[in-house]
Amino acid sequence: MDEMFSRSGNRILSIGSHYLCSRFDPVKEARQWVRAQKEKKDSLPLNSHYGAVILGAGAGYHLVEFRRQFPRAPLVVFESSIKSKIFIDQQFPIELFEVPIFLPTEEEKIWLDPTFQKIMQGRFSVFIHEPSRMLNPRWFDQCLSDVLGRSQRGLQFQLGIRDDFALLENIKESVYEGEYANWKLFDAFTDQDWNQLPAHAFFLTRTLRELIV
Amino acid sequence: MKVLIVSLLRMGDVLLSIPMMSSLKKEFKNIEIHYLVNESSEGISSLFPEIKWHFLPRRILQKGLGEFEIPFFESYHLLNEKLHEWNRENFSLLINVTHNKLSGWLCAAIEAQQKIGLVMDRQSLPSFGSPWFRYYNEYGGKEGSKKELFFHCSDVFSYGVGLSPVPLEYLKDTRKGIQEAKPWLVEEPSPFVLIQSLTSDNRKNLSIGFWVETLKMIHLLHVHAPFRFLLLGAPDEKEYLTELLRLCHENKIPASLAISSIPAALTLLKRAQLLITGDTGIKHLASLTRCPVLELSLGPSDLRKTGVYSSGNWIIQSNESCAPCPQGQACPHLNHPCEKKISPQLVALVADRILKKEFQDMGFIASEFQREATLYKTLRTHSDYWMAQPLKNGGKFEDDLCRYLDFSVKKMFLTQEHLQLIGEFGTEGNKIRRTLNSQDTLSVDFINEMETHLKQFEKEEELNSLWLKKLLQLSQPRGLKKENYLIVSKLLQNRPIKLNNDDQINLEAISEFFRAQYEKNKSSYLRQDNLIELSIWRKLQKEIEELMFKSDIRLKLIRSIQSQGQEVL
Repeated sequence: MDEMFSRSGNRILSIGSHYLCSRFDPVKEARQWVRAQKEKKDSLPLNSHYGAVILGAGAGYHLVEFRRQFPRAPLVVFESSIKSKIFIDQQFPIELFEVPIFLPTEEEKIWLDPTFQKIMQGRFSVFIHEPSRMLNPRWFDQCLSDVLGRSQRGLQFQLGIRDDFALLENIKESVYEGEYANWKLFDAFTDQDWNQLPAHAFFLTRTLRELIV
Repeated sequence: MKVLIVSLLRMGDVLLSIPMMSSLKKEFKNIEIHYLVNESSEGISSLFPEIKWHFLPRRILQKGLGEFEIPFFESYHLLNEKLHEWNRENFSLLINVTHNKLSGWLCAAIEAQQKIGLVMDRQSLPSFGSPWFRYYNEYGGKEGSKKELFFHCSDVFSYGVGLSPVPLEYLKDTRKGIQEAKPWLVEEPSPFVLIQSLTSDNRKNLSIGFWVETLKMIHLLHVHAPFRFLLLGAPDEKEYLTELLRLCHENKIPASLAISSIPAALTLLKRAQLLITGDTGIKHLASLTRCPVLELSLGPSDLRKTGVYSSGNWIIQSNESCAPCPQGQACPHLNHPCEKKISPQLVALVADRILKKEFQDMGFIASEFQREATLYKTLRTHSDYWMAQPLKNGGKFEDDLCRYLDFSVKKMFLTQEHLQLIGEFGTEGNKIRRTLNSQDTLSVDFINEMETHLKQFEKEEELNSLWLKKLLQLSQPRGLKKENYLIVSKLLQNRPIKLNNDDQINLEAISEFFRAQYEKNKSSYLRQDNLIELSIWRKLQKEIEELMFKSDIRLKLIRSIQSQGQEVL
């Protein structure tokens, strides 16, 4: 991974001919990236109160811009390259001081991180930084499934950190590796399973299940 | 007092609950009405500025449940947020008029001091908070219900909250509606007929050829004072309506397109000479205006429950034995026969009489087409319920008397009048008499014939009452021995009177149960330790008791009408 300067005078990163941000003006590009995410996520929460997970740290400009626009949103970042993380730590030590950036070697740490757990317990959005993802698509796609709770591991984690669903062992086993989890899995519930849900969660889940055709 | 009305079906279903809202407003002066509806019903919200509207984001919730790229619990959190928002209102009363499982579960999660209508509990058991809503739920979708007497949904909702329906309040135009409808009203100021040709369900639709033929005939019947036709529809119906318009112009029918929002549709309805429509939300909107309506009822459309609610309107029902067909099932016939039975001639003739305000030969028109379709006139009886009265030339008075009696018996039973110390049987009897008296289709010597029939009904009902008492006596599980089955079977075979349809359905079920028990117990006594059988017995006894209560109400009503007749004489 090489470091260089963009035409606008900002320090940037590349791997051979693959640049992790704009060679001309990474700050402007970061603004455009955040705007594009806002437009894409019209039906999903994107405001100061909800959490955000960004897959791909790149050269950090888009993270800084995101932080600037949503200073109070809990944020975590997944990144596959340690060099990228080191670059960001040096380049934006203050701007991204509180933002955890997780590497593939830190998977155990991810699930225990309080910010990550807080995000997973509420409403959040996942944003993908495509130039970073392209460097390790398999790992990033796995992260995406996990974070969304659509993989066995991810769903198990999400159920485990929720007070209302923590007791539901069957639901964890009813999603198999490689399958993507959706709300039809509640069909396999027995009366005993349903009874383990607190009243509020029980009625909410029952209502939502009726919405699936 | 804050009331939340939950209506999670289509726009038309929301409008069906508006009369109940009027009853509530009349009864409670300081009432604040909230509605929870699907986002798709948002179009009507501006017509009711006094209501606080809440919307269920159904589409977004569904998306979140199934799509990979949305977090697994996103819909859960979104609905939870909505619930917190609704619960912050501290509702005193929740009324669920939807009656599907989705609404039942959701209403369980919404907090309110009192809940009426379907609400599910942790054991997945429903509660209704009113005999009217239980009746609506039990009979609404039951097989064989097509033969039964059924109150209109709007009446069920009002009675369900313990109130009598009040006269409808007519809606006011909105600024948006007037603005949007201006081109149709200003550029072509001649009188017009609104045509709502499409419904939400293909089985309720008539063919494009039918509409062209019908409009052509109405136009021919009014050559000297022509009406223009406005083809009403929503933006997603534009393609079909454009084709209909093209065919109208080809046939020299003066028509134009009116693709409009709901507020603009209301503005048009308030100025139209007539609306011809299938079973649509626009029909329910029209019932909140003075616009005359001609409804064409076919397929799953059930006029008893959802016919045009205002009085003095007209409904043509296709005479097909399978109609109304069950909701959610495709028509099993290849050629959609109930559509074929509504002829353009019939519709054009009825529309013509409505436009000319000449109603005297409607009975004759109805007789001419009675094989294919039945013509109904809607009315509000003096007993405070809506009904669609079938028109016949020289109809039997006995049938009318029987029908009004049956409706009143059912109404009083559901209102639990029989449990009151002093029931209002005299008042109800008087109302029946007044309704019968005001029927313009009756051409008989009213008082004499009524007295004769009432005497006969009284005698029959007394016998029926004794018979039911005997049946109940024999239906005690602990005392029922095998020889009693034979007695009961014989008793059931010799019913003293012909019952109305829904009681007959109940009695047939009872009879079937006894037959099965007899077969099963030919060689032994009933097992006393079988709890399931005992619960069936309890249900059975409850049903016989119900029949007894109804018989008792009927007898009291007959006697009340008789005594008032003597006063008149």
